[in-house]
Amino acid sequence: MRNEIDRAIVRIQNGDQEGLASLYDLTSRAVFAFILPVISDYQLAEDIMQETYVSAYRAIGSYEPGTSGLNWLFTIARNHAYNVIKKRQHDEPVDFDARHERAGSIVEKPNWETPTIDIAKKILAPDEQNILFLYTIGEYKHREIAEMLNLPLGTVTWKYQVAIKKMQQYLKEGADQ
Amino acid sequence: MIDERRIKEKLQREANRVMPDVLANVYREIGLEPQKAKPRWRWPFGKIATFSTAMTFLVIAVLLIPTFINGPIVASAETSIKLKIIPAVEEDPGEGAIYLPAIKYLPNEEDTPIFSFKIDRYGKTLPLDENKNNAIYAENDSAKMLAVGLGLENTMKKSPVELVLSLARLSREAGYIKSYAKGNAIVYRLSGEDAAYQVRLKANIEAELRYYFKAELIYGIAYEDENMDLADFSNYVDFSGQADNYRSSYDNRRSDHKHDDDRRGSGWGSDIDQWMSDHHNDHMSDTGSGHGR
Repeated sequence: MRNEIDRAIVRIQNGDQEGLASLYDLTSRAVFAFILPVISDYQLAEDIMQETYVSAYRAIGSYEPGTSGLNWLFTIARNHAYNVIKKRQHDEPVDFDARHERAGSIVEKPNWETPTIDIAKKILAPDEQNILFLYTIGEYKHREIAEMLNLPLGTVTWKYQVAIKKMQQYLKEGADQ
Repeated sequence: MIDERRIKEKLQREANRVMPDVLANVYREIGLEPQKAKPRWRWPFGKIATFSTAMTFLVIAVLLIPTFINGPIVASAETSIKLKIIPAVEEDPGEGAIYLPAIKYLPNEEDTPIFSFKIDRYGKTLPLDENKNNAIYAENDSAKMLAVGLGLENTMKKSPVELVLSLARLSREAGYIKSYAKGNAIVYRLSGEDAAYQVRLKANIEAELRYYFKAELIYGIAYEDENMDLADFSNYVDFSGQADNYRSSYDNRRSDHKHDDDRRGSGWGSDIDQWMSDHHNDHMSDTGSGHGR
């Protein structure tokens, strides 16, 4: 997967227009899963994703072949998430990291379309959300997630299990009530 | 207790409801023709039997109907194209705006990449070497540099329009199209036995390049020069063994030209429509204005 992503970026660097479509296809679910923990509504996700890929294309020369293309893209996505959220809430200074840390306060309005995602955002720590979303929504393997997030494989596997257990417990309690 | 698989399915289903698809918007915003993402292939492990059946039909289809692989036949014969990428000169001919007749073009062939390639009846580039690793005849050093920059394997089975656009982009990045000077040109000549296909191809190449130049605010035009030599592949030599040398030159040129856009003045591009229109008309009325030499 990583090689495919890196190759797609190099194709764009070489002027191949279809490279961008390939990059998008390979990474859009990952980018969406990556920004999911920090967005409060899905319109924001659209803005952030669009700006991420436009910026990536325009700054394609800044990618150094041989390094992780997905980490490079995540950095761009993270910066845009920061900018978009800040712009939307210009009267309230936003600390991206602090916002990221406040698990449980991200979901401002429950969305009937996404009850399970909302529960995950409500009860899981940010790193657990990232791992859970990348594994389930992004459909990446634990090994690939470990590479993306620069975490040991054991940590990713363990945190995923913790996240699943928390979800199971919460959903069970909801069903019992 | 709800099992892991169901949680995963719920999360996926919900994400599919709200995950935006912004690819078309991205292409529009960067000024390129929208392309569809090729679906990412995932093995359907739970449906191996279905997959096997489908594969059997696919193999039969592939054996019986080559069109399934190559796409529809678009021409009745092969077509060849030869093209030159001619950068504008940097000198300002005088005070005030650069006027068309004052534009001169570099006559130096070393600075004019020259390419030729063949297009099959399916509208895709044909391999030129025995190993089928390359579809482009790079006729001089500057062309070889760009071909290596593109990746020789990336020239294979490409639509000619796509290949010409890729060469234009690389030429711009390597300074063979000067984004800060007026008078860039991509000059080409088509040859082959299917005149109708050539008419369509000519229209597509010129429209796509015009779109590209305009989106990038590059004062450039594309046109077919009927005085140009026809593509001739008799001197084609596989140069892939020297690719590393050319790659290094290409990287250096890209580095040298990465700040080319900074040399544009304020208001750059404000008159580009008029410029392109005038210059195109100029060539339509007088093809001997100096391009393509």
